Amino acid sequence: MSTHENRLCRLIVREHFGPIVEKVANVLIRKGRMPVGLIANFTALKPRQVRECLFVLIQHNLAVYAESQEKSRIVTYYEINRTELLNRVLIPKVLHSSQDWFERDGVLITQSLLTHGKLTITDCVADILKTSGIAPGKTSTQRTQSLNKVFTRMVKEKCLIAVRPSDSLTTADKDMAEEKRETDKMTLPPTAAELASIRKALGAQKQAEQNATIVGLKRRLDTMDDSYGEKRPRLLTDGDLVIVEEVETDVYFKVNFDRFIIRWRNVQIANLYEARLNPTAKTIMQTIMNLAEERMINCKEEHSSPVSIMLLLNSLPKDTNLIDTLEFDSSDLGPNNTKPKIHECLDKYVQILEEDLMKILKRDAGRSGQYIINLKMASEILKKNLIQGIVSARFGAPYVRIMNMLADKGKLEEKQISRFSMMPVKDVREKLTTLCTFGVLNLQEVPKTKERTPSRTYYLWEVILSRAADTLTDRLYHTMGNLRQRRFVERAKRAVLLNKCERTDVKADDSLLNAAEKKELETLNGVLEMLEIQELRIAEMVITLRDF
Amino acid sequence: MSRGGGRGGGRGGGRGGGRGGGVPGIQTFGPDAIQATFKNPGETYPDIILPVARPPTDDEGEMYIAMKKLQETLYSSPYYLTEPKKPGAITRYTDRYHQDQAAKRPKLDTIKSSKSFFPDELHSILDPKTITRKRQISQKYDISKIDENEDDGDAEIDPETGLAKKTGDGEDGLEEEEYEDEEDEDDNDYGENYFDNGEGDDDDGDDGDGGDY
Repeated sequence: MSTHENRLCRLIVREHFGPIVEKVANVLIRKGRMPVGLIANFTALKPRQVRECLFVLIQHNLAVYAESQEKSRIVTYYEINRTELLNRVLIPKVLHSSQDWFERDGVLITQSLLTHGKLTITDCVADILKTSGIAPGKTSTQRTQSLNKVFTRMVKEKCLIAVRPSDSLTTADKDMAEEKRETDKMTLPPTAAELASIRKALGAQKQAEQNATIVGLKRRLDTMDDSYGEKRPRLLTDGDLVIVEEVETDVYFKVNFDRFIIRWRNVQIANLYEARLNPTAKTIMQTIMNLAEERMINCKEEHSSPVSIMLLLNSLPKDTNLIDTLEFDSSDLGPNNTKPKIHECLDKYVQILEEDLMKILKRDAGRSGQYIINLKMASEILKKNLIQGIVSARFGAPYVRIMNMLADKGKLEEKQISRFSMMPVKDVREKLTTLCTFGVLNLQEVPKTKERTPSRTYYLWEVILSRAADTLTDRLYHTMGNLRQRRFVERAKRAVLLNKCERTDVKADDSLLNAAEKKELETLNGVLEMLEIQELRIAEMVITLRDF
Repeated sequence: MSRGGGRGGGRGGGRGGGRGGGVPGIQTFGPDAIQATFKNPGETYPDIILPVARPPTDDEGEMYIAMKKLQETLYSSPYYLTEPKKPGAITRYTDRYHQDQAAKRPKLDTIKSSKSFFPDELHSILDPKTITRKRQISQKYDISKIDENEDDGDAEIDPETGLAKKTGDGEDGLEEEEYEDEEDEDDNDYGENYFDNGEGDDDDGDDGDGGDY
């Protein structure tokens, strides 16, 4: 959309897939959807090369296509999937989280899927066995079984998601085709109201499909094999059968970035309570989020599914100390001053969390003993905190004071802001214009007369959170593009040295590089590490502003 | 422009003296930041104090190593497309140690994927033996009736196109024409070019020579 976003997308493709794919992606990003012939014209590449680039992009879920009938031919148009492309900046964090949640096998599976875009379980396991080998003391069958187990767990937890052939088609074309199918059933053309109801029904159907069972997972009955040592075979009863969930071998899977973003958001929501209350409150909140996470599909939902307090009590980590971290009144403890029971402590904690001013946790009105999380409120608080942090680091405390005041009180005039913030009007005016140029504040003109003369117009300043988040996201894209480009420049500056390091004799023998060259390589490594880490930090800010 | 040059020259001298004297640069970030305003724009290129980033944590270091490893894997995978190296004019001794990465990478037809994810025109990338079929909607014409049309001088003219209306047996439907996968030298997909880039415009040319100015 914006120039900075386009540049960042182009640089991501260049780093991961090379300069030829970058040319094709650049044309599609800047000019929109087009067929192979037109792309070849714009890029001056051969049609065969363009097809190879498009193949690579579709394989990695970065491009979609649509076939349309034009006169006597079927023409295929290709389009870039920006969301998936921009998610690639989060790959280092995804790999690290896979390590934390699924250990070494999880990282290997994630790496294999990110290298190939999409794979079946069999191909993924075969690729891992080929690249990383088998540890001594383990057989190939054991290794395959352990990888299959981790893969199945990742699919069950929705960190991996099935890819269907329809996912390679553009969403707009799919929606239009479904709408056409519904309207073709009608004898007369649909009215606006009928069309709206058809679209609503299709949207609800799509939502229901997402909430349904996990695609790519099948269930089968298996026996619990515990008949070791029995001489006579015995008849199997229902109690011997267990339901085993297995991943279908012919279904392709890819990394589900949305699930990782949901989990990171849940961790950040729980972290809010650590600063406000105590670490035990954070643990309780984290457990509630984990229990509600199963039904979450994306970060844009307003409320979570209800969580019962009994389930929460059973799911808390064993080392959670509820009793000693709470203070009870002597009247609550009774005449013998006995320590309260754990469920009473949990009730007290949940009451404190519910009464907290952030209003994130609230009682489910329909059912007793159930609580839901106001995800929309939580996301707004996270965004506001981040924007305050950015403004504070960039401009200082007085600017944050003005911004917070406008966020709390709504639209205010210059004079009112000056009175509330106890700053002279001249200073306030400068700060307001600076913040407006930065993109955090908005100006609303309310004319008193029809002529809209400046002297007879109210100028009201306000903070619109969504707009501020969008503007700052664009600025952050600009910064990320700069950091990425700087990496290319740093490598280009040392191109001769890097070319020397690529030589087969230098790879075999390090001593062919002199001390100055080795030091230069170390400096380059340090610079690239800093740039990559800075970009990752900014990417984390971007997902807070854009996706939460 | 002389104003800009004069300013730059004067300021450059001042700055040089300032740097020698140890005058600190301007703080543009944080609580003590000096913001440029309309009345006090400040210097055009001031010496600014840049904020220093906090050092990387252990987790971030691990993330960098994991990403570097993935980058190397992608670089040597069939998905990283580069032009094959053309032999240079001069042959050097060290050329024997340089590997052509493009030649070393596996080809795209070795990857494991399914044709159902790709449109027909990309199937040949995954499976080079596939004969690409161009899907067209065509009308069949009855050849025996061509002579009849020629004798008939009262052929109906289509008012829209100004051409004779087709009277052959029309059959609307998808007819698949098979053709071999295009060779590189015959790669000419201009048939699919929706826009003619102005080639179809009649260029009348100048009315006589424009004359030299």
